Amino acid sequence: MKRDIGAFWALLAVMIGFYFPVISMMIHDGLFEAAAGDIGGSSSSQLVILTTVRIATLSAILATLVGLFDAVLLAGTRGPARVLIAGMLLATFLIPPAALASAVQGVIGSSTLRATIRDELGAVCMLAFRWAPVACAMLLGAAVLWPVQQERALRGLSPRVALFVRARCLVPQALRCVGLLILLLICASEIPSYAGVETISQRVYARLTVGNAAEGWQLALGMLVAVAPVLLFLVWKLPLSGRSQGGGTVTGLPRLRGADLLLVIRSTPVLALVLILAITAWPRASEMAVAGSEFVDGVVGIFQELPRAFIASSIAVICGWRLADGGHRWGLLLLCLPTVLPGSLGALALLHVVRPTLPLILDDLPILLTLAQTCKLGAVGAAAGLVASRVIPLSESNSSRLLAPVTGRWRVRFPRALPVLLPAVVIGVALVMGEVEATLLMAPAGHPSPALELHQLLHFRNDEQAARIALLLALVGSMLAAIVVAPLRRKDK
Amino acid sequence: MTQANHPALEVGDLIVSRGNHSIGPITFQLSIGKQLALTGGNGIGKSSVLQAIAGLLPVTSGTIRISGESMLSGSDGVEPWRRGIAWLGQERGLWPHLSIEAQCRLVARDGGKTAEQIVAVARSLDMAELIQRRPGALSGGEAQRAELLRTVCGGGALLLLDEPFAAQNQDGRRRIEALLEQECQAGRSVLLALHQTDSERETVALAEN
Repeated sequence: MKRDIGAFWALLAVMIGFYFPVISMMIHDGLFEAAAGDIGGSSSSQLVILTTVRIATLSAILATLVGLFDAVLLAGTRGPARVLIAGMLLATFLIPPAALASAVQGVIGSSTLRATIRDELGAVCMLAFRWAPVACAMLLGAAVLWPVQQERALRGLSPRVALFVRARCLVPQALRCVGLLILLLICASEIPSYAGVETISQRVYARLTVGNAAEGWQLALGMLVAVAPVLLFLVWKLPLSGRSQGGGTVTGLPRLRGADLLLVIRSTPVLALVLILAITAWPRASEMAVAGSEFVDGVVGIFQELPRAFIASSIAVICGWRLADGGHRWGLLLLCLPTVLPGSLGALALLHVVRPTLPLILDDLPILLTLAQTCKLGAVGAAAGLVASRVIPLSESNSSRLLAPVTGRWRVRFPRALPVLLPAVVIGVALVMGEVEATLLMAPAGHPSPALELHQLLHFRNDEQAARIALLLALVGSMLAAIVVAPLRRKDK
Repeated sequence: MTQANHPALEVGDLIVSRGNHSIGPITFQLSIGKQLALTGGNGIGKSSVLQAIAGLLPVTSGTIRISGESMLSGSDGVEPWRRGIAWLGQERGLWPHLSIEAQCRLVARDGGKTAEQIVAVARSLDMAELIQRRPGALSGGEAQRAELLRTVCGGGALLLLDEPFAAQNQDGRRRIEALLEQECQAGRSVLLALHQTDSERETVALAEN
């Protein structure tokens, strides 16, 4: 009991930022007055839920397969090109989807693009290729902690067999990736809307703002019921798996002929996308001065927003790790839930319930926005925590359990978990920087938000400036990833 | 922690389960300032018994008393760090991000050895030159002695050592023997898991069934 209370602080942000306002709003909007059978809404609403779950599941599986492929190949190659390729792969995730879709439209033509992606398959493909780097980063992060003896044992095998063994060892982590990505993609609305597919996020937002609020809440609850098995799978079943300590490594196996070529082919679409953005972003000669000043403003805005994004992401990841390290499965479940629901839902609840109670002076500070985004990153934190607490060798973990709990946790296990936690923080930063739903509702006037600026620029068809900001975001994100992740490469070769 | 009237460790009808495999019942007693070795072949359950005593493996039934206090009270039993033990596992459990000295200081916080004593113990294990290093920069035998050094620097009155002589040559083994003897004279008790029967200390031989 004392142990559970000790971990309660890890749930404080999500309690204040999500559960308290959301439950208050639910009561206010009369959800509990509706019949229990209404949860999930009408048949058309159930159809939207099914579509959303289908798109999220297929995208998560495809993204994980692509990420696993990338991770295994990256682990099987060596040299400086590996870092470059890893950075490029990550760029597709760091470029906000709106800017990417707009730039692609601008180059290959709006009608061509729409004809190609205007269905569920298009949405699945776009989501999968945007999120594949997350799966890749997660699998590589876990792989760094593989015991060096097992890493050396792999080197005795032929390169092809070693790669296959590595891929097999990564399967438990890949399953966890699928679970996490389903949770993250279930509330994706931006990319599916480009493909003309309505998802639950859009409908919930519409119902909560202009329609029947109670129906919005019912839909959200229906969504929760639909993803409950995934949540339980992520939080309950996998931590019990003793096989989860297997994994690959980024140190590098004997060189596999053809691996480099495959990686080059894999990174070609990424390179093409970056080029498209660069071409769109390049200003005409007459606009050079204006573009230059806009570019500087963009850089300043991004660097102003980075610390806040870092704080939001760090809080979510540390809370997730703390709960996973203490084995608090219910806590992890509570942390994950806000991720599944549309960002606008939590933001609206915060605005209606918490904001009126805050002093006016706090209106100019993005405190509530940070809180909402921290809650939204719950699943990222939980998954990172689960992976991090499972990949530390049992012998090390056992030794640390003989220390006082606080010492063992923060001096031994936390530093050992950093190779997984830091990439998760970077992923969280990228998500916060590109987050639109909560920012649109909660950002204080004049708050520098690249995602919001991008949204507005695209709305007014200023594609060039939007492409500039998108490129900047990708560049800053890649640099951040390189700075944070590069020192974590294992030295015990 | 140590109470003069009680043995350092009392194990009564202990049964430990590891997967589908059940170990025990086992009964033995270890007096204060003495050494006792659990011996037996591979897979017989020596390490599991040590882990159960350390609180790292659940106990199916039986009793474990350290300095007269039951370790199985409460729903999960007494937590490992509250048992007054120091633990050396069979697999390498050094923390790779800290130097050996930093690890020794960390475990010595709760009533363990002072900085001078840590250096003295390191010298006795021929580790004085190596304690600034991190585990990755040590050989197998050095790492084993480093882990033993860390274990001994902790504050527990009962040392649980799983194969402490692994990867040691004659000199290393002799140094470890001398250190354990010295710790026993200082009032600590030592329970070891060993592959082979040991004529230098009292033994409890584990056998199938």
